[in-house]
Amino acid sequence: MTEPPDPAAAQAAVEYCYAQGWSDGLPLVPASQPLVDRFLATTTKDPGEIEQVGRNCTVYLAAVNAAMAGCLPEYFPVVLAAFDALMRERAAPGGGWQSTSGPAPMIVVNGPVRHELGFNTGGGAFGPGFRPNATVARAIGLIVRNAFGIRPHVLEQATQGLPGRWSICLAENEEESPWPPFAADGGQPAGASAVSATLLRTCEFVDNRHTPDPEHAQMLAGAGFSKQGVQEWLMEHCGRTGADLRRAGKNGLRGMARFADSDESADDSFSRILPSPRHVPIVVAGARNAAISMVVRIFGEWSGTATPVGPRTAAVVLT
Amino acid sequence: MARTSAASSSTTTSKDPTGNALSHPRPDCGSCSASAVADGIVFEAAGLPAAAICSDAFKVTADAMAGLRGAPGYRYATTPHPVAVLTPDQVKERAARVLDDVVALLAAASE
Repeated sequence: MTEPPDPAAAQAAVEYCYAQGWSDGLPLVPASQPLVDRFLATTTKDPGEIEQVGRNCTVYLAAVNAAMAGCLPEYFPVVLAAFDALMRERAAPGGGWQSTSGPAPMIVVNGPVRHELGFNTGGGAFGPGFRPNATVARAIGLIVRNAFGIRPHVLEQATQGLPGRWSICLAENEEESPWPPFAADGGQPAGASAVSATLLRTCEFVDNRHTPDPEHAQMLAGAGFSKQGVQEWLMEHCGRTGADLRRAGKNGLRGMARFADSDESADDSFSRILPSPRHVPIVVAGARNAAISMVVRIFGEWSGTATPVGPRTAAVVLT
Repeated sequence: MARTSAASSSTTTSKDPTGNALSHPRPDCGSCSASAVADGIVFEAAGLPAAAICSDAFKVTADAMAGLRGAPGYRYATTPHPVAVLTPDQVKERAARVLDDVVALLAAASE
């Protein structure tokens, strides 16, 4: 029988990580060189490759932080794809991590990799409870903290932060979706393992479980809506009247700035708030047990691209 | 060097009447304040006198960015937080109050 690991040594290692300032507040997995090497073995990328221009995050540093986040080595190609997808968002390399609004990455995983690595594709899509979903998202947060050096109260200036920051990694429920996978919206072929990501400012759930048909996506598809059709409907109908804007002191517009204008002549006008489908990406996630959806307010617009999960070595597929 | 302004940035850049110095007015959020300082450092490295202005709530992040950009102790002007809620007239009043500091920074930078 294998001897259980020494708890005292494990506790000492965890406390060592805290003392170095590496932790996001929760215990870290101590990242030894052999463990990091197992992560690096899952990707064809060079350990010294720079993952973001102008900042110092190498593949090696990403591996260290993924290991500390609690990822298994075989998750690492997904972490790298998620990181790449996030860097395509305008705000992510542009100061979003430092923003007072404290946006949360929302990572979406598609394709066979979901099941190969054991991602949760069902209920509790926003977590917690599942190692791949929880640790891939956490790895991104640790990379931002430790590789970029963006730490709370210093370069990270979130006023309130956001519940779920560094913990949102959805695996789309493709099996119960009436529509093509989200990665297809990002230009990837059907069946591809790919990761998409955007930043979100907040989210709020919509509970319509007392409607006759319990699942929103399937109900909409049953009524003849394609995903694009749903987006077009929302773009057409989401907005505010001139009177609403005037009551909120936002009816005047000078350049990019809104201000209170006493002019009531535009009260009957309608200002739409969603300029394109990339402002209202649609993902099918969660359980088929109640008609509850999550409305997420994204940080600007989604890049509209998905990143393929890079070449993985044969050893990374779980048996 | 990569620009670091956020999507939500309210930062603007303007030329002074002489056309050869830059001030970076009223950053009043986390990413904007740090990017104002980063831009000021870049301008000065390029030989262009610059004066960054941050609201005082963001001194820690501005100082951290200066260290990150290889210019620890980089000097910038401050104005009391908040700025975003001010009326145009109040902004002018703030500008008048910070003017001496901006001039001093530009003069020092051009020495």
